[in-house]
Amino acid sequence: MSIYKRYQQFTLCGLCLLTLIAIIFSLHSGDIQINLQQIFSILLTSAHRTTSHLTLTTKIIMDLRLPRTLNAFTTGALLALAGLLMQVLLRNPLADPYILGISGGAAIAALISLLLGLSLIWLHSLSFLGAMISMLFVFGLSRERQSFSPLRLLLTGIVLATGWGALISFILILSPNHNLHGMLFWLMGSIGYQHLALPGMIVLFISYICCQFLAPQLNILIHGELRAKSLGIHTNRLHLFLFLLASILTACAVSIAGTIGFVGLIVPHLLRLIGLRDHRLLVPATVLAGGSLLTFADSLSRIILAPEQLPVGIITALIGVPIFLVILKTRGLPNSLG
Amino acid sequence: MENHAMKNLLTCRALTLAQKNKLLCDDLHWQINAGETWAILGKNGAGKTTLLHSLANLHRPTKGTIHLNDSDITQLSRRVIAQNIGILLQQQHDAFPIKVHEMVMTGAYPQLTLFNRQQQKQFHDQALIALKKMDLLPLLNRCVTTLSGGERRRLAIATLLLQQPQVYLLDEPTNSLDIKHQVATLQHFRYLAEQQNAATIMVLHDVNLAYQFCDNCLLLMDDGRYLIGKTTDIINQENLLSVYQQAFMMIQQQNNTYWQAQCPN
Repeated sequence: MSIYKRYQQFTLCGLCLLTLIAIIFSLHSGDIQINLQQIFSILLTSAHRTTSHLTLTTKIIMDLRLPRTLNAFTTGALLALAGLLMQVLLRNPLADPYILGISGGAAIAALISLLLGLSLIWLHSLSFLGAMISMLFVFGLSRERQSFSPLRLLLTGIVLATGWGALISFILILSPNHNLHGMLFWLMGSIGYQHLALPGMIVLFISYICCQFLAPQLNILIHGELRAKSLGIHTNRLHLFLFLLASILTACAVSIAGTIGFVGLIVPHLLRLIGLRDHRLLVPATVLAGGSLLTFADSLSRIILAPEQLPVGIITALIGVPIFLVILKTRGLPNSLG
Repeated sequence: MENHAMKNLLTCRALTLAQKNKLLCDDLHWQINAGETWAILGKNGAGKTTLLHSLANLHRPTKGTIHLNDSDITQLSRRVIAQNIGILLQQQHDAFPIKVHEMVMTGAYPQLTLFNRQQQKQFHDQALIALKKMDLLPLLNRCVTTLSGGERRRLAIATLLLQQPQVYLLDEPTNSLDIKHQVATLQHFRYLAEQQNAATIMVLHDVNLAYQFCDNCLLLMDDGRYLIGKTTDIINQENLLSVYQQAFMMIQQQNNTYWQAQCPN
């Protein structure tokens, strides 16, 4: 038993290291070469910097790369955590943050604001609003007698997502050509340079703390609603809370970076595959792994076709799929682990 | 111990359970005391599981009340109920792979408080005892999804043993167990009732097991009527026929009574 605990803690330490590497890698990569020593000295001295004499490199690191890195990390972590919660909520290992159609509403709102040529701040806030409206739809339609049935929730969500998908195609077809590139970029997900990282980080931090406290309950809830009830958990309340939390996380991630696929589905799975099963460790591990995966992917998206940028969603899938398949092939299904 | 012997644990008053125009149980008055062993018998769909779920507050009765230690069960928090009432569900659900030793620890959940390591250690030791009782020690590090049906059942029972409630509600505890484990399991539950002042209520399909391991019996008929009393008093050919619409033969041998279903021809 204790070997497992040791192993799980070891994995968590490894993920911390990975996160650090991902962040440094992300700060390092870009058109202009800035060596590691410079990066560290900029980061360390920035606390008491004066605005009067800023070098170009300081500006690049502090105003461009650092916010972008933090946004990438936050988005990845939000998505991965949302995916984990959805999987527990729906008791389905195949669930991802977009499965309930929450991103669809965000996409419609985002596309409309792109079509109208609204500013970025509008784009982000409208897509968040769209996601919340979509969430209320799923919530209202799938509730029966004050309780959630995961199956009903899943079906409602999937059908609604299909509906949003049709609307998205409709908007794309109607849109003039010069808008299309931006729209596709948004739909595939990409992390821009320009906005604040702080709101997303606050949401991430608060929801991480909530999840950490809920982790023992999540460990029980995966065994089914009735079992959880019989062990003393208020499943109605917990379901509602998980649904709200997962939706807010997804809405936040989508409004920062569009619909980046794959992170939410793959990260919790990858961690389960390598042997993390206790949610008390799975929750922090998901945050770290999701964050670093997206940070890496975002750095690559800036490097590969530089100075052109790729939508990061393409990269996450291109990195994630082979890694996942290799682990699945070599370690087998989760049940033959150990 | 002695003065607790007749302690009243669960009381049903005027309990009525109905489902979509079908009356499962009509106006049931039932008192379950510490130290008692109960069997619930009835045909498929007679409402045995629904009744058991109602006793654990997993199902809201149509009418009537259930009291646990003199407080209305609907007024108690789920945690308090789980500390007093443990239920073995008919089916378990394992979509996520976890290990046997992790699964059994879920039984400690109602007793655990956050951040108490001492307690964790103590439950670990008790978990090993529960697993040993169910012959699961060799499977400690196996993943639950690789277990056979009977092994999973034993794991669910071990988990329930770790929960250490006062009232054990068992929905077909012998399902998919081999004969040896059926006997050992029921014997252990009998021991818990008689020596540890617990109460056990089990849904069974085997009249002989009920006769052998349960002192009291509740027979649920199809139309919501019921018979309640000492097993030896109410299990007889006439009552079995009216519960199951199936004739039984009584076989007596060396002071033991056995029941054998008769084939129609």
